[in-house]
Formats: sequence, structure tokens, C-alpha cells
Amino acid sequence: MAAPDRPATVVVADDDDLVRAVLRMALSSMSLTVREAADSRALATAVDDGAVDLTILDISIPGPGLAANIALVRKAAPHARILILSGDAEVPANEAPLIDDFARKPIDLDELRDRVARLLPTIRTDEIS
Amino acid sequence: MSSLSARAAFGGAWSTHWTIWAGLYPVTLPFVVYRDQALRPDSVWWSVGSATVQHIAVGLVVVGVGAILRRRRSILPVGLVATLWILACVVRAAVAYAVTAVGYAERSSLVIDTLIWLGISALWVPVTVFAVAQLDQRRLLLAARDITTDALLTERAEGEETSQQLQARLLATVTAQLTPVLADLQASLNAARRRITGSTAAELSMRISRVHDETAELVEGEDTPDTSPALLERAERVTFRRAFEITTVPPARMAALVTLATLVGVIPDTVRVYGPIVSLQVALAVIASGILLAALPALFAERASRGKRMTHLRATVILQAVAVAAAAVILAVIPPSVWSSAQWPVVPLTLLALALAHTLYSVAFIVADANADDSAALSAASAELDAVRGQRAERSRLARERMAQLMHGPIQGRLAACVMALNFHAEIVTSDPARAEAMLDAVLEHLQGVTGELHRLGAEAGLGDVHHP
Repeated sequence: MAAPDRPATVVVADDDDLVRAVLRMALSSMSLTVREAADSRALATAVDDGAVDLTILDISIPGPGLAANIALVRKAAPHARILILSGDAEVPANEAPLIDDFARKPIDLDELRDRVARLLPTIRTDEIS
Repeated sequence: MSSLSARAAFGGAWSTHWTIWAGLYPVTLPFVVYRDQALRPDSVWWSVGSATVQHIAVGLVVVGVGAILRRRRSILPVGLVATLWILACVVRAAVAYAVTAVGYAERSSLVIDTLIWLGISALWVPVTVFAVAQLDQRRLLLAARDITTDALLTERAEGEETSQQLQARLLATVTAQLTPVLADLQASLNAARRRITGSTAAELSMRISRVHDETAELVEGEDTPDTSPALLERAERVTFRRAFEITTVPPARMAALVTLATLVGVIPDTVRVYGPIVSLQVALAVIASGILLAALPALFAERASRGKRMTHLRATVILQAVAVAAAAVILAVIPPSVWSSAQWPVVPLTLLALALAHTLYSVAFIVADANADDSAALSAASAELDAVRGQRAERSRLARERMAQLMHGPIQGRLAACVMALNFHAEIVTSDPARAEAMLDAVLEHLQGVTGELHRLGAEAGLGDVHHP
């Protein structure tokens, strides 16, 4: 993937305020730009400009459902990677081929940063605190 | 567990088992002593010794070689077992032949003895093995049926629990386990917040993480009982008394085999010992008894049709008593009576052979039939048990799915958020204490939210107030 001429942008879509706040602060330490979305409508707004490199998506945010949310992200930002972060043990079989990674909540923050770094290879490792 | 086939019975452990070999010793002993009269041993002890040595030799062949063969496979081919039995007859005749060369006036005939033992073995050994194997199978079969029936009754009772009741029970379990832990966590967090360090936050995070995982296990876990095969493996044999609680009378069709086995067991030696006249008397007595054994079951059946059933044991004892008494009377009344003559030993031997043959064939026929019936009943009960368990598992799955939906965000999601927040708190507590403090406030608020949600769900499910410890 070609390196964008802007800081990598991550959208955190989760209906839990605390999860969003923790992820925002944890990812900000990686010099990433973090946008938040509490539901599908907010997600649509967050990815609308297409300048998104990674979407961390909870399976069950309020809205039309996971498949629609993935389609929404793919349409607005075709190159964006998608990491599903969920309390469920696995991603529904139909959506599994459409995403790039999956992790179960609660996730260790270091593990989260590693996954993000793998999904966004343009981030220099020294940016990961 | 199915009923036992003849192939399985003859190839199984009982066909070369030492207990059957040992049990046949007191049976064969009087027959050897009886036949040896024709060879005029120096004393009866020669016959006893000969019978003992013959039996030991047979044991070496059947039990010894059988044990060696079973090291490789537990079920032997029927042909191999038959070969062992035939070999045992030859060995027995050879040993008898060798012993008569020492303490007897006349030597036995190797060929005739072999043929007689082959005839006797053909009609007595397989039925003995079959009867014992069927009886053993019956004791296990009934135990398995008891276990399955008990499990079925339990499942039926538990099957009356509706999906909603199951869901309420699950919720009660979750609530009862989570509420005190959450209260404790909040108390710990409140107590430590002024001096909370990174390691304290990490420890609290681990405790909440455990609560989160336990909640998931409670909601997603299985509550299906042990499967039937595992239970059946633990089944212990029922008592012999229980195994014989069969209300079928011995069938008429076995009378011919009882008659034949008795004739083969007694007549050849009687011809050699006492001649053809006594042999004819014995044959008549045995055949008459056989006719009675064939006719009497019809009377029992007619009695049973009027609701007066009798157990297999009682029917066997009555039939046997009548048959033995008839044979004894016939041997007494047909002139010349053998009772008061020097040929009297033929009487107890004949009656013993008749009783033994009737007992063995009766057990073999009746128990095999009963096993077939009970095996079918067990299969039906197992199928019903599987069906009931399947229905219950489906209800459980639906209830757990609904539970998972209820618990997912409000409970598990918040707990997960708390874990992640406390981990982050541990990272920033020294570098950004103000933000860490705000993070703790959010965690406490979340834990209170979880407690409140549990109370709400409990109230909706009609569990009443869930008390804090």
C-alpha cells in the first residue's frame, strides 16, 4: 500500500463510550488520527471523505448490521483495512471473508497496537510506544 | 447394547473361560465313573483320578490355549473355538486311554471314546457357553436398561422446563454469581482510587476480566447431561435373581434338544456298561419325559392367558420336576426294574442328565429370547432419550441465544470496556494522572451500569430483588 501524505487515520466504531475513549487514547500514542463513531450513521459520516486507512468496528453497533457497515466502509474507503473488535467469539461466517482481522474484547492494548501496526505497515515501529 | 448373537457368544470369552471349565468338572465326573464300570478299574478312585486328569488336560487345551489366542484378539473365530473343543475331546479320550493301561482290567477304545465325547460335547458344551454368555449379557443389559430408564425419567421431568423458565434459571445463576463480585470490585476500586497504582489497576483489570469470562461461560456453556454410552460403560451387572425375573415359560421347541442331549449323554455308555435292554428302558424314559416337556408349556401358556403368569424359574422347576419324576417312574415300572438291580446307577445318572440338560437349554432359550426383547426395549428407550435430550438441547440453545443477546452489550461489553480502561489506566497513571482519574470514574460508572442492568434483567425475568452481599 502506498504511504498517504497525511497521518494514518483510524475510525473507531463502538457504541460504548469507554471503549471508544480508551482506543482513541491508545491509538493516539501511535501518532494516528482517530475518528469515533457510536453508531452506523456516525460511521457513515466518519468514513465519508474516504481518507480512512483502518476501521475498528464493533459487530453490534446500532444500525443496519455488520454486513451493511462493512459495505458502507468499503464503498467510501475501498482501501481501508477493517478490524472487527467484538465480544463475540467469532465473526459471522458470511462477513469473515470481507474483513482483514478480528480480535475479541477485552483485548490487551499492546496486542491491539501490534495488530494495528500490522494492518498499517506504513507506520514506523518507533511510533509505537 | 444389543442382544448377544450366537457368533458373539461362541467367539467371546466364555467359550474358553476357566469358570465354565471348572464348573463342568463335577458334571463330567459321575459320567466318567459311570462309563469306567465297563472297563473294570481296580477301584473307583482310578475312575475319579482318570476323570480329574482328563479334565485338567481339557483345561490346558481349551482354557490355556484359549488364553494364549486371546492375547491377540478378544473375540475368536467360531471355527477356531470349535477346533479347540474338538481337540479337547480327542485329548480327553487319549488321556482316558492312557490311564486305562495302568489301573484297569480293560483298555478303553480311543476311537469310540473320541466319538462319544464329540457327541456329548456337541450337545452340551455350546449350549453351556451360550447360556452363560446370554446370562452375563442379560445382567449387563438390564443394568443398562435401568440406567437408560432413569435417565429418561429425569430428562422427561427436566424437559417440562420451558424455554422461558430455563432462561430465567440461567439469568438467576448469572445474577447470583455476578452481583456480589461486582459489588466487591466496586468497593475495591473506590477504596483504592486515591492511591491506585499501575499494578493495582492491572490486578483489578484481571479480576474484571475473569468476571467477563465467567459470564461468557455461564451464558454460552452447555448443560447437557452425560451421554448414554459413557453411562452404560459404568453399568454394573444386576443380580442373578433379577436376571431370572422372566415371566416366559420354557418353550416346547427345546424339548427335542433336551431329549437328544440326555440320550447322547447316557445311552452310549449305558450300552457298553449294562447292555441294550437297560439302554432301551432309559431311552423310553427319556423320550417320555421329552414328550411331557413339549406338552406342558401349552398348559402354562393357557394359564398365563388367564392372567396367572409365573416366573421362568418356577416354570422351569415345575417342568423339570415333572419330567424327572416321570422318567424315574418309567424306569421303575418297566420290567425288569433297574431300581432294585445292580444297574441302579443308571437311574440317578439319567435323572441328573435330564435335569442338567433341561436347565441348560431352558436358560439358553429363555434368556436369549428375553435378551432380544430387552435389547429392543433398550434401543427404544435410548432413542426416546436421545430425542428428549435433543429437544432439551434445542430449548437450551434458544434460551442461551436469547441470554447472550441480553448480556452481550449491557453486561459483557461494559465489563470488557472496564478491563481495557483499567489496562490503559495502568499505562498512564504516572504520566497523566488527571486522565487516569477520569478513566477510573468511567470504569466505576460502567460497573454500576452493569449492576443496574443485572437488576433490571432479573426483575424482567421475575427473579425478584437480587440482594447485594
